[in-house]
Amino acid sequence: MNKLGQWILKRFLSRKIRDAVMGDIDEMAVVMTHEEDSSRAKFWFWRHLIRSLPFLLTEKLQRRWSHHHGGVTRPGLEPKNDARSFFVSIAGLSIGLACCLTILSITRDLRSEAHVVDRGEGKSVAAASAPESFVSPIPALFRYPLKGTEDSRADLEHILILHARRLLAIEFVIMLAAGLVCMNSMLNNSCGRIHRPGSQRLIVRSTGLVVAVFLLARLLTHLLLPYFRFLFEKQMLLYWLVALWLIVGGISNIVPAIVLSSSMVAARRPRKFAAVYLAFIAAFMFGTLLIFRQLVQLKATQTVRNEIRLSGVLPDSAGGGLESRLLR
Amino acid sequence: MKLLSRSEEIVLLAVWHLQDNAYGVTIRTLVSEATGHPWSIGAVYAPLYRLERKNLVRMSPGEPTPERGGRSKVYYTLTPEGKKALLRIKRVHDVLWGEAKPIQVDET
Repeated sequence: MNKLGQWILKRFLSRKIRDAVMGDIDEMAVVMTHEEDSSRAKFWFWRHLIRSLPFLLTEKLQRRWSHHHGGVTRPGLEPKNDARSFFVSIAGLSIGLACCLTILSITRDLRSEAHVVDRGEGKSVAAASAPESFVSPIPALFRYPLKGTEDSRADLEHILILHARRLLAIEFVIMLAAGLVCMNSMLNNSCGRIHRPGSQRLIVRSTGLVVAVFLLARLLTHLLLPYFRFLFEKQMLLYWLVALWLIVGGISNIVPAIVLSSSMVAARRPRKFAAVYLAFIAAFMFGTLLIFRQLVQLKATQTVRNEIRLSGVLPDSAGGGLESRLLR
Repeated sequence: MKLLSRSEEIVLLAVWHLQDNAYGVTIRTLVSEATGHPWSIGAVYAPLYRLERKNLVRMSPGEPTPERGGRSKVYYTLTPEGKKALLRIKRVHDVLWGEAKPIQVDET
């Protein structure tokens, strides 16, 4: 095994199984070298290593999170004496949860029949060409300018819907975690150290608070967001939600707490880890937004195509009245 | 007790199948042959880690060998809870398959 491979494995493996895994890979590589030439064995090694990384990374994160997440998040629920910081924590948690619930709503909406790729069935055409009938907690989010028509994009749209669903589901989990970590108050200032829960009674005391915060989050999601357009005459876009989440996250220490809760090396290498982690999250979110944007554009394209089809199917004599009613 | 995931179930069964020779390479080879697609070593150790956390398998260090670069093997054995879990899985399968009609696949 070369040095780079060893270094990568050391980063991702726990000490308990590090030697065993590296030994196993060495053993398999020896067999491969006997059976194949060395270049193919090297290729096998790297392919195997890359395929193993997601599992090892997941295992590492699970281990670290289960170890430290509670320690970082729980103390933030303690009211302490500083009412301001407590308010920031609660507000941050509420907005974080509201973002999570909104993204969950989007994910649920994407599963609805209104977003099924049109394969010529009347139902899909009707649903896509009449966005007013689409019942959603955040209807304005899906209304974009319509332009362009290309039939070949139908399959691409289908793939994008699948990808967007998966990515949004993953992002939802990340944001949920962030929302929970948001409990970490400014008073705790968790950027430099890991906090341990003071006592078990904190959990009992905080149960009511968690319920209250969840109710507040639901209120924000289901009352404020749908009327955002009405109040401000603008659309509530996904970008805004993400920006809101980032701003609140910055204020209430979401991101440092995430870094802390997933890695205990804050005292040793905080900046390096934080930078890598933030870059990963940023790239992930940016990628999701790009896909989402494409999906929305393509969905809009589909709507235009449906309108054109309907216009073509209807007889001229039926004319403006029926057509306009159908397309309205 | 919660049901195990599919990968956990397969790995647990492989550990029982291999008895005293259950370590990373042998488990990977067995499950790859059984399932018909190659498992990465990470895909084997992730469920093993979860099973160990659930106290269904136990780790014990083995002897270092030269082909492993002088590194020790880690052998896995089932704990009494692991054996109970495996029996429970078998019972679930038996009940479900016992009452089910035989599957007939139309090749047309």
